[in-house]
Amino acid sequence: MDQKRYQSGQKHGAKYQDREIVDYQYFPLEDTGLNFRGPQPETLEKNQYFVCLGAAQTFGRFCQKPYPKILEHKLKFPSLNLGVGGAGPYYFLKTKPIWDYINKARFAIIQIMSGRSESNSLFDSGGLEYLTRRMDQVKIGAGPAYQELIDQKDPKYVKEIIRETRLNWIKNFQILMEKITVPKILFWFSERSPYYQENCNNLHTLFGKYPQLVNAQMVRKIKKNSDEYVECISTRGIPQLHISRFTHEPTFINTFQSRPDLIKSYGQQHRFNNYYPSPEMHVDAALSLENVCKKYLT
Amino acid sequence: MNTQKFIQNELFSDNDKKVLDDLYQILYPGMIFVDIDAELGRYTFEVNNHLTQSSIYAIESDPLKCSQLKHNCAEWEFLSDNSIYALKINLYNGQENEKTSLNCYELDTLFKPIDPDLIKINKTGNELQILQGSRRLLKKGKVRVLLVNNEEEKFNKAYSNSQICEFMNSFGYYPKKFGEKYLFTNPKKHLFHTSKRIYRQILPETFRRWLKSFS
Repeated sequence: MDQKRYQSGQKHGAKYQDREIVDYQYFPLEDTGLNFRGPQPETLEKNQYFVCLGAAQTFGRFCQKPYPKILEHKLKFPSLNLGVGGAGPYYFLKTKPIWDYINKARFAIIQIMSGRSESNSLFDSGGLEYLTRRMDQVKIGAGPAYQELIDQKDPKYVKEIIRETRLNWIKNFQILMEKITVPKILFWFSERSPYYQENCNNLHTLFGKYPQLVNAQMVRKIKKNSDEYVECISTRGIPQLHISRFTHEPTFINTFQSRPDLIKSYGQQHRFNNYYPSPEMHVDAALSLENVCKKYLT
Repeated sequence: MNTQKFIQNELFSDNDKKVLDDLYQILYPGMIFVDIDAELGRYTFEVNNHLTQSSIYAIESDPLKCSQLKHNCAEWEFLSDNSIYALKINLYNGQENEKTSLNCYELDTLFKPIDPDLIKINKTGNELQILQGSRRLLKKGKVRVLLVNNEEEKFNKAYSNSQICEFMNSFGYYPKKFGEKYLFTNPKKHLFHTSKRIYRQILPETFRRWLKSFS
């Protein structure tokens, strides 16, 4: 069983090395060829579950109970977690087999996903954060790719690329929202507010915290296509101590095991999670969503 | 009888109950509570019932107790809005020769980037060692330390109260009678941290960032 899970996790490009901390209980979603975070919902009949779309924050990396699961418990209504690490709006747009599952749900929570997972004239993202440089077809993480851009090009050019990326993001997000026919709850889940002061001096100030590159103006544009908008800004529980679920002792995790490009920037072993939402933040997220979701259940 | 009443009646002595009454007064939502030598989690249970959106670290060195503690914490966490972490580790003062096993930690190292608000130490004889491993936290002055000793005699044999008081005083901490026990607080720094917390609660994140942009 464990071996099977390991294989499905690998197929999914998932971070199975996290098994020391959390068992994500991947399950294959019928007719999609994809594995998603479990446990599998009791039912996937029309109107009998709600769906959560998003990136690693919705998936709940390093978290035993991500916000879809907490909400499921609070609302007593099954959830389908379609969170995929590094996903941007285009990922869900191009993955047509899951549309049926989204549109059969009672309502959909759509996390505002990162702008760095969007394509532009320099990089092709395929909807994920691992970019392909168009010039030489080299695979490169969004962080190192944009760092290179900042280092080598003048700020005016960088700004132009960012503008193009943001426009693509807005366009794809709007199309995605149009494709979703059930009530849509747009969800801002971050350590920062959508307003942030950016500059092209370094990667950190250019991206901002996740969802990277997304600003208030972009949120305003996609908000129009949603039925509800919920914000959860929290830093509770960050940094999160990694605790082994087997030994109950603090443990080191190789956060970026499958990504040598990120190891260079962020180091190899981590005892604390400084990036992904902590279990406390997931509680905050569920609490901010609870009342809005209830509206669609009555 | 509900679980809470059962735990209070069966696991807490009359003295402990007094401590609990006082403890409820100093708990506030969003705090980080560390329960050292949590055993099966009686304090963790009580604190969890009185807190919302908080983090609780329950530390127990005994493997058997810890696996039951882990089980209890998962159950209690499920029914609350708190995050409870059960940890099986030994705490020591940071001196290599005092290390008894591989999983020995100083509180300072364990919680390096985390700032606990309240630490409850439930040890008989180990208090000073644990506190000596918390120098960084004590220097910061944000944390409050609640000393809970069930067996006064053992406690007196191992360390005298004055030794602990002297050590705590060197960091600006003073004891306050707390039921039958002692709560150590750094009055000056505690006031600063409390004001900071209230300021954060009152002013929304966006507004604080906006204010920050002027400085």
